[in-house]
Amino acid sequence: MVTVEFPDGTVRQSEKNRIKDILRDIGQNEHAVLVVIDGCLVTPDVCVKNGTEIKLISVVSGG
Amino acid sequence: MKCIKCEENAVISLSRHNAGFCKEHFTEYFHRQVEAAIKEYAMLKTSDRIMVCVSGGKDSLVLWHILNLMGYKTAGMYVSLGIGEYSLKSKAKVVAFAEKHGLEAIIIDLDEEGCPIPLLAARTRRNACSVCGQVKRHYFNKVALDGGFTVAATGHNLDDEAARLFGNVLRWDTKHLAKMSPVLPEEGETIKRKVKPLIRLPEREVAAYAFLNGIDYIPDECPKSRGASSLKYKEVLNELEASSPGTKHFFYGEFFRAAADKFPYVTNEEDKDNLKKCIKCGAESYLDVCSFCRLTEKLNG
Repeated sequence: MVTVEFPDGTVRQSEKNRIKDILRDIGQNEHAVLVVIDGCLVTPDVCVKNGTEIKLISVVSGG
Repeated sequence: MKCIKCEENAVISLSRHNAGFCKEHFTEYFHRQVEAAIKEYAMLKTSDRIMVCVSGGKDSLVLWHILNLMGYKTAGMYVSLGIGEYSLKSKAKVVAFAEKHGLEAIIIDLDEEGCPIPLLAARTRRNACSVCGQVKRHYFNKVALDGGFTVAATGHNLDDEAARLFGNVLRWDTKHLAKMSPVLPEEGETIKRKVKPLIRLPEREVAAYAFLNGIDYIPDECPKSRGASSLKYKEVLNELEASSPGTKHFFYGEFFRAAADKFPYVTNEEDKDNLKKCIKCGAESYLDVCSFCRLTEKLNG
């Protein structure tokens, strides 16, 4: 299980292990967020282990 | 995924190029994109004194950072909108950035000016974003004139401009379609040339650049922009981009090749003889009292 922290602080879990699949699983468009693991940006093709904590940074701004 | 220029692990993927970059080569790529936009549209001259309109958000601080790295003469211009905690936090980001890099920040505080956006919007019963745009334009023009700036630069990115184009096309808003160019000419004495050097870069790449280069920005949305149609347009364009990488670049870029000439920019040059000075603030106006002063008069009414 992978833990995903959203920009607003809410948390969700995913059973997928590839970032691209995790984003799809939680209904997040990969063009609208950056994915950070241990303070580093990672690309959607990266696979992660069970127990990994992922942080999302929203990139959408403006009004 | 590996960086296409070296064997390091990529920190960002650019699906429209089917490529990834490490931090070093992404930063290099990013700078090249800004340089290309400046050159393609003849946005800036080395002699320009540039007023960078900053909000404390990622786009404007990244723009200020890069123009400074490129050796341009810049100062940041920030308007504190009087929107509670959001304004306090965004102002602190601008001040901290300027101090860290030894740059000049010009701060206009609407609470001190007596016309914070929430109060103006309430008194005029207008949408806060519309009032905000009008007030910011007034101060941008005033500060540019008073400060001897030759050009105003804003951090609008590809997503901002593609969303704006999308909205203008949906409404067939020909007046605003005529103002889609990333360079708008100066008009009269007050309105300086306006440029948007980040237009080749999607906002995901701007955010990545800020993250990788330690640019500390306010990630929060302006609370007054919630529900704005431009955010919906961005969501739609991101959906299209996910299934068809390159859509945003193509949509925005091709507008200038295929359609922009159908919506020519109309200056007020023919009317310039009718321009006068506002009797209250001295700004150029076609009426005795400019639109900003007519707006703020409502605070006294």
